[in-house]
Amino acid sequence: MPTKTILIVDDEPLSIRILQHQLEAEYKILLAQSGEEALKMLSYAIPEIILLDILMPDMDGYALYRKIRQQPELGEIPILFVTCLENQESEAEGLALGASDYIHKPFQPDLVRLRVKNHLALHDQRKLLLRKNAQLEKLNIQLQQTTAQVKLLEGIIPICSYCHKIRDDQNIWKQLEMYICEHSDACFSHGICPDCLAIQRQSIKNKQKSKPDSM
Amino acid sequence: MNAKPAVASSSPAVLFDPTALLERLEGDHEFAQEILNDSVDEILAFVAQLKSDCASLNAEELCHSAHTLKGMAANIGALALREEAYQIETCARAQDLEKIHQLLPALEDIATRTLLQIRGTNLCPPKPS
Repeated sequence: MPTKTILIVDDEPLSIRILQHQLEAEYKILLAQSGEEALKMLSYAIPEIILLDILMPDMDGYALYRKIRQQPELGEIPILFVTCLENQESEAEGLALGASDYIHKPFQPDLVRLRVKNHLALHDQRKLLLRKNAQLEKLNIQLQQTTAQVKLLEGIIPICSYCHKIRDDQNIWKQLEMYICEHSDACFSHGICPDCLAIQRQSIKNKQKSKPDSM
Repeated sequence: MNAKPAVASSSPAVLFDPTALLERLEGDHEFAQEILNDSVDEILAFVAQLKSDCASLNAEELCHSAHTLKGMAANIGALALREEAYQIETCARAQDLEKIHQLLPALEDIATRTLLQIRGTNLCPPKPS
């Protein structure tokens, strides 16, 4: 079952029918015989690729191309211009305008299908790349925010073996907790551990014992 | 009796090359015949349009009509007609209406002979009875 849609715009009915015949087994086909008709169609249906004849009355292929590109939701659709082999000047003009490629009259079915297939594959890869890029950008922003929150504690830190003060970059000895507070997002709540509690109790008792009787 | 298709050739003098059309339509004889039948009216309309554009000295319209006829003729394998249309398109781009006046009878003649061949062509193989 064809899933991708091609819009063919050409004012010459036989050309349209031949192109349609070459592509309809693999793709859904939308047909327009003028620029106005194509624009109307594009207001409710977005094809995956557009094949656009250059020389049409009223609105030529280039004018239609510009109008399509002005619409953000249609801006990325690959557009292949349809022209006769000998119109090389117009090919340069179309490619300079940003057209993806050219399909030449008389239509060679294998070439037509390969060109359409290749440009659809390119378009899919581009869409995938854009999606991945957007994801990467989002992740990068998240990473930058997280990195900004993290302060690093690393390397060799000089610490006093007795009082456990730490010497900072300015050669100042600081309390361990003050140093950690300055170099991380950690906070301290003060308490006393059971070992120290026992030592403190013993120390108080010893002091009391060593005091002369006040009685 | 079915008319025999003209012999295919790369020469631009060939009026009509049905094998090229059949190749383009990947051997779909019925559809090729349908396209041929419809091309008759289109060729007649284009020739009338070119004459009218030439009479009204409208180089822009002449250029457009000749260009479209050229593409259509190339697609159906009407090689000589394609060549004549190309000549007229080139002159129309150069605004050389005098030359187009000279070229138009030749185009009309080739169109008439091409139509004769197309009308005498049956691309559909006879169905078994």
